[in-house]
Amino acid sequence: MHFVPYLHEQILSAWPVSVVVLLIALIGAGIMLAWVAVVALVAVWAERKVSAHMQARLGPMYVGGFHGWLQTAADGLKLFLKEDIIPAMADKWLFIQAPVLVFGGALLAYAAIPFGPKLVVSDINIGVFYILAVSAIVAIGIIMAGWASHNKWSLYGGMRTAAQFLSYEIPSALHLMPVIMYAGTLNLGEIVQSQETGLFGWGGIFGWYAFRNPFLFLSFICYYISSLAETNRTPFDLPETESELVAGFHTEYTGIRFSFFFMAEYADMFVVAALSTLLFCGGWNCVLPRSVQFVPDPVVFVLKCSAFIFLTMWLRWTLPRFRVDQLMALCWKFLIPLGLLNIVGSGLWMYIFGQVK
Amino acid sequence: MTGVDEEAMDADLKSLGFRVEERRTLASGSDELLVNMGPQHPSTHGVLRLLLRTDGEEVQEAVPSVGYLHRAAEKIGENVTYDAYTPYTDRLDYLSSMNNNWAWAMTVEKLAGIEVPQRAEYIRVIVAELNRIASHLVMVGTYGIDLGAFTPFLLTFREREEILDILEEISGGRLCYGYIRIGGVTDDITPTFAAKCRAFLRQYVPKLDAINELLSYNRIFIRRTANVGPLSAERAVAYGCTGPTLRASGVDWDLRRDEPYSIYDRFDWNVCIGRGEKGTVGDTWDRYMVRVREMYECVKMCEQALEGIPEGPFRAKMPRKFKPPIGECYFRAENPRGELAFYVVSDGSKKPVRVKVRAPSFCNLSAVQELTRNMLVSDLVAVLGSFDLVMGEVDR
Amino acid sequence: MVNIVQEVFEGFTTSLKGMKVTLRELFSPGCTLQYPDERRVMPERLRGMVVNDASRCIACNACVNVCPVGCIESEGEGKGKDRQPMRFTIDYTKCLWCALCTEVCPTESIFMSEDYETVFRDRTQMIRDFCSNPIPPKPGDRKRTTKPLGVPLSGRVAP
Repeated sequence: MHFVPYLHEQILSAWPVSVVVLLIALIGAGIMLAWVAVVALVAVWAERKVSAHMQARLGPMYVGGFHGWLQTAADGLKLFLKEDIIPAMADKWLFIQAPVLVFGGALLAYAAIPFGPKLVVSDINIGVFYILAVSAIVAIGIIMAGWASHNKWSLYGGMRTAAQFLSYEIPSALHLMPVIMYAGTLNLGEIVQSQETGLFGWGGIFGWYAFRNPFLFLSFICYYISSLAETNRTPFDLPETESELVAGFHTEYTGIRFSFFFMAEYADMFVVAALSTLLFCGGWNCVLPRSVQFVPDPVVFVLKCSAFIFLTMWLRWTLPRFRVDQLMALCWKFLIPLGLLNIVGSGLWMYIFGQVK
Repeated sequence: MTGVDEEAMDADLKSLGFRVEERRTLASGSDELLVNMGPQHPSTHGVLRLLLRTDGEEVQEAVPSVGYLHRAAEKIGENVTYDAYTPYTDRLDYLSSMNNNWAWAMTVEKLAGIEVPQRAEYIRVIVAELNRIASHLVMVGTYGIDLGAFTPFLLTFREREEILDILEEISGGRLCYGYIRIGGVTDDITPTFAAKCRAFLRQYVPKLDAINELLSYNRIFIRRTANVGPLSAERAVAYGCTGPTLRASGVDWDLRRDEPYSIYDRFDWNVCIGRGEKGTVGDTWDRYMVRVREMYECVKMCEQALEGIPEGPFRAKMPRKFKPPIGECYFRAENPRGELAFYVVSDGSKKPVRVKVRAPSFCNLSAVQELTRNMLVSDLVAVLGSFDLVMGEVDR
Repeated sequence: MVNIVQEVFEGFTTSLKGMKVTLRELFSPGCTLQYPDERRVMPERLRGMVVNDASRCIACNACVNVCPVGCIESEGEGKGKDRQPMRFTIDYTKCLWCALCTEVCPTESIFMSEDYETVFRDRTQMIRDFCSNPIPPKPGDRKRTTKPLGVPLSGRVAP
């Protein structure tokens, strides 16, 4: 909230603090909404191109000239102009509110994501906790969508999500614990700052939490897998299995409502990529030590997030999907015990090597 | 509920063997749902309707309901001449149209005692095996999509496009060829046919290995398909399953080796049998893998056939108004999906009296109801895909 | 316990192998043709839309009798070499594009053109009478010169 005192003292001293806070909140929300729109635009286009080239195709080539980069905008415009159909027997109020919750949950997380040392809408001290909590609102939205569609197949999708999402929240949080233990704080900006110096005082890649300690490396991989399950990406995309449930929980949605679900998926993908980067891969610190870094921080951050998003897409187009019970088994029988093991192991490592703060 | 024809829905349920009360009483209280995996569904591979009684996600019973693609092919056989029935056989199992044409041609040749020239026999073998590869490629690709792996579909279809280009060059069509006729084939192969075939076969085996790496041996795929829906050998034989479905259950039976027709006894190839390498014998992984391995054997056969094409006519001399002798004939051929058999009754005129088609997918489908008790919906999709059904021949 | 770890490890290795395949495909060129700007070169024996050159036709009804779906109707007048069709219609709603009619035609007047991009906007247009709406005459004389399902002698024929 450092913008607030700066603004309040330097420029708008006549106004009460609460109004300044509100102003910052509105401007921040506006910027983040624009950023989410850009992310969705680029991510959807990238997904189509990456998937196409992996499948010996070409993807969008026409709209906007160079390899169809405006294709998403054209598709978004088309979706906006489509007829809004609500099934006759659907629960109307729930049907309308579900996409709002899903998109809102994805968007709320952006309030705490820093793009640079102090470039954040809201620099709260419980950043990690806030993001994890707020992302869970998406689950309620999906269940509502599945129920309100009055369609047994959508119901299947919604119920699967309920199980999957809530189960995978636990390993997500557990695997982040060792990082929190090392950093000693939940504030995202400070976590990244603590990655500036690592082993023997070397910076750069040695400072990244993913490489500090074998348990942390394991945590990194397991957190990434849990985050795939959180965002319903293959191999965990049961709620929206195209081949079994037509389109899962969003079968009955058309037009703008569908585009909400669609954008929310890509927005959420960026959030988890951002969390992985910030907590495990040095955030806006690049591979070289901080002193020789010449690329601006937000650029490095966005590039790293893009690398994670590319990896997510690569996995989607390579792997088949899990069955529901295999997914649950993976979570409860493998990831959660491993998470607990990682916490204990990291703690012991910190104690033995004297890294306790 | 508005706009719902209650009587029609009751009659429909009754015809499938469910009690009519289930439609009303299941809605409240229990977790049991009556779900319609309707004729339009991404993974029923055509217009197959399955009515599922599920307890939550677990399917307790899946009753198939067929007939959505019925086009009266057998009745039409009574109204067209023998040669003109060939395009109808194309469209029975539209993915392996050369094999269908061949089975029909051989039935009528057996009935009328027509001898096919050797050149035509070799050409028939080559195009039929190419079509078998194309058909199995469709199965592999769509099976991947059913289980969530989207990329193998595109890779297999790209290879299939090459095959379709080769077959288009000699026949003019890409899916329904009508190339193999009674007495031989329609037209001779083009001068570039053999070279294109060899080029394709040479570059095809590494691509098949890549698909194996991507899909067949992937641990997630194996977990989805191993030990799922095992069909024991004696149940498979009892239901009349044939083709790769039967061979995957461990039964060593292939018509091309055990009742060889045409020139199949001249080639050196292996019959692929399911051995339960990743789970039980006869599970879905076996059914899938038998088809993948058969593609390697088809490549072998094609290469051997290409070496030995003799010179000569490509079609026997057939009278303009062809009238076979009075009698009846039953002949079965090994299609990519199983045994396709034709039974034709002739009274000496130029049109048959009765044409009966024994479709392999129809008999394979009958095993689905017993096999899919007490499994999850995802497993049902996996099992259905592994049977490789084409509704064109189930419904005819 | 060991079983699960082993399975997960194998899951990783096989997934990585699969990812290698997809990565290799990522850097291979795509095989899509940007239709209609880029088109495939069609083979000679392409079975395009079937058309009849009424100036060559002798209305012998061979094609009418052999057609599996009965989409051809013809009425002729005259006798022997002077026989000409008065009305010759092909119903494209029924035509299978099977080319059986081209094999039996004694004068090769009916043939499969190279047109595969047929679009009709109205069902009434789909029954075409080749006497009142003829195609350009096929070059050559009336006798059969090529084998059945041979190369079409003229180029692309517009409907």
